[in-house]
Amino acid sequence: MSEALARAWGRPPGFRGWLAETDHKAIGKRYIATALIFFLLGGVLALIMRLQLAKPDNNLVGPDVYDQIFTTHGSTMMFLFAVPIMQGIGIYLVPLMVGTRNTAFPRLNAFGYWSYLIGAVFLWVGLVTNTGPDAGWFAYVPLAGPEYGTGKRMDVWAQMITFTELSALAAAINIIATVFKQRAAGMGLHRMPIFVWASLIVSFMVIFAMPSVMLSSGMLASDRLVATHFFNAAEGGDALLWQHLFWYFAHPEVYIIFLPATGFVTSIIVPFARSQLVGYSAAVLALVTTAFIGFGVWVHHMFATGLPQLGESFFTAASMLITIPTGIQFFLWIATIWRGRVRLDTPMWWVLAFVLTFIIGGLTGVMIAAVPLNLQVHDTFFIVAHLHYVLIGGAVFPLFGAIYFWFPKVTGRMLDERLGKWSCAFVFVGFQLTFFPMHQLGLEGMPRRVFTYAKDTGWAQLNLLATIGAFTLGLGFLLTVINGFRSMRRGAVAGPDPWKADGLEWTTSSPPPRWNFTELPTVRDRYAAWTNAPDQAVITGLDETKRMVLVTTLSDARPDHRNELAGPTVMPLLVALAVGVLFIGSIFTPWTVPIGAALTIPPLVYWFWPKPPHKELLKP
Amino acid sequence: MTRRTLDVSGLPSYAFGARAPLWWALMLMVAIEGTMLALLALSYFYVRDRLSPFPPVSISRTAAWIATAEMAIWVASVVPTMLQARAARRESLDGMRLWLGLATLLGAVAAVLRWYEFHLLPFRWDDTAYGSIVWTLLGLQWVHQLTGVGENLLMEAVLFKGPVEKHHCVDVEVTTPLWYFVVSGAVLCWLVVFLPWVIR
Repeated sequence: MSEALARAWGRPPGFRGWLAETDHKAIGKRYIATALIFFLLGGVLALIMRLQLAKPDNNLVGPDVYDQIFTTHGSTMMFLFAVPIMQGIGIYLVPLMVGTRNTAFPRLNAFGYWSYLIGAVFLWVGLVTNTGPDAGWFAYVPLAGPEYGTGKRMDVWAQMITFTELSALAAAINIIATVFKQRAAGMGLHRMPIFVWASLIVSFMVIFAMPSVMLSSGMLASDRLVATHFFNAAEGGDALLWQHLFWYFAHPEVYIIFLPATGFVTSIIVPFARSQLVGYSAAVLALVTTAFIGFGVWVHHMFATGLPQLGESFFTAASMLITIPTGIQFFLWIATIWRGRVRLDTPMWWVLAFVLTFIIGGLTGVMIAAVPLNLQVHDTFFIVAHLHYVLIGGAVFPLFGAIYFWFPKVTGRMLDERLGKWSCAFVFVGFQLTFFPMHQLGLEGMPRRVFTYAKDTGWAQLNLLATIGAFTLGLGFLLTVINGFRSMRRGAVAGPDPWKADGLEWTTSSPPPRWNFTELPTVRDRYAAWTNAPDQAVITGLDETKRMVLVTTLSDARPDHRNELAGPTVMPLLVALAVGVLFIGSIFTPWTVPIGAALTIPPLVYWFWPKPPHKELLKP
Repeated sequence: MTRRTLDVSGLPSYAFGARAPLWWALMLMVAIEGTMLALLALSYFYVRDRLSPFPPVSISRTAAWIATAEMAIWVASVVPTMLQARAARRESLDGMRLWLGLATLLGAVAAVLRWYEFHLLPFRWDDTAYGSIVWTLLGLQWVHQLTGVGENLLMEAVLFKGPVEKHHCVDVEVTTPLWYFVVSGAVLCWLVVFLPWVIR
């Protein structure tokens, strides 16, 4: 039986087969590896910034290079690391967690990855050719517009956005369709793992948030390239329109990054507390509520723009309101740990680091939700401290917990525990040393995005401390990189379920076969692996010589029909390249828009055209 | 102990409507493009509050009536599209060919009219923010129109050239919401940009 499955779910040999890959695990791993590479590159930029700021009146890098570095650092971390890695992990894990053999649209998955890769490389080619964007990761106009943002730097930024958002949208469609229609029989919505819930909700957030930045970056590009006036006040445009459209995307983006991390935390706490989650329904509702409120807080990024006070009050209230569902999740985790018998392995260390750090970031968030304080610390290092507490504390710490937790599933080998704990300790201490002093620097008035400061400001000591902290932090991350490379070859063999965890992904081998499950499972409980009794039914009747999956009903996951998935092809890559011609070329001439669009047609037609062996034919 | 099994061999190999994963993908595409179109329409009203006089240039009655005809053709194309969906569910190859073809023809005619409207607009995208937003709104929606027509043409080509597989009936059926979205977008553009010049 496995031989038939291996033939059906295989891919063509060689490099062409690698390019044609449509297996969700391979694509998920590519997302994760690419995002981690960009995380390290973004980290190197951060270290250069910290070296520059380590002492006053420093001239390691000049203001022009510094501008490119901080913009590329922010853009890399947000668009090339945080969102893609969360979605990449979702692409890898969700089909395994819901008990199916691939995502609903494998070729769309491949297209999403190639688009991401093209956009990511494009941004960095820009940086190394002195064409790196230099107006900040949120590209405020008019600084980023045609009047002040001369050259091609901000065009690079705008088109990078297009690629990465295309990729995020493709992943979101895939995850939603997979979760809705390909869950294991019996896995009703009320039995879905919390991480799957988080991925589903985040995917919906992507669907409704990303169009806003695609639209606004398109408007920015057209203002710059074909002289439209969306943001030109002299011709009836408005710079604040940019801020509204950008932050309508970018605040939900924070939750797009944070909510999967809460899914990691729950996935780790349950097996390490050896207890079922306390308040499953409340946890799901907290995720949903956070997502909804997350769309109603964007104006708190714009308090300094002179908005009407009524509007400011509303967005202050909404910004404070969002702490409630997040708080509920925290209390549920505490209750689960309280009820259980906790094992303090490395993934739990990262979870504890997250709890301590994110609470500080959350509290400073409540502080800056208040307009008077917000105005006081606007554009200072206080904001830099806050956003790193929230994003690194809230997302990167759980992410590293997730890496230690699922590495055995992905590679079949355990990461070294001792090195993992040292890594966590260095990262935690280094992080606090780096970012806690920035609160004080901000309160003392040190502005962000300046390449240096004068000696008599009195900011030198705290800046030096932050730089020492940054290198400690970098060393901590490096220890995990070393751990990963060592353990891939020499780590202890993991077996299917080294943590005695509860999810379906732990019921298959490590690493899973290309078809995920030799026998497709059914589910009768939220904790599928813990309740997987010997008499639990498995699915039969799917043709194993084809890429067949079981489609189930949306709510109750009752078996509905069988569906044959598309196989590997290089067409998604060719379409992504054609889209690349369209968008990258448009920076130089608008004629590449019709040319690129025309180039997408042949591979798209080939992609969809019916090819033998044909499925059941329709009789005329 | 022998493992219990759940035999699904008797289940169909395709299903219509919201039962099909493809239906969800298309609805999500509609959500994405709909959000873009809605934000663009909101941006139109945002600009309206900042530009005086608004609109800075008049649109001719000819252009407005051609836009009305275009919108009406789109609305009319709903009928063959509904019949196309019914034919698909009946798995009637002739019915799908006929109604899909008719809807595509209507859509193509309307898309040509939109092209003509661009020529009749008395302003360019680089004149004012009003010009920018109108050209972008009509342009984005025109891309939706062309995509809808192009996709229909591809399906029509498959239906005529074959071999037609049974699951192609699902493709023909589940893409109808995408067509209704294009129709809704055309109506939105007409309401926002042209209606004031029709009722003037």
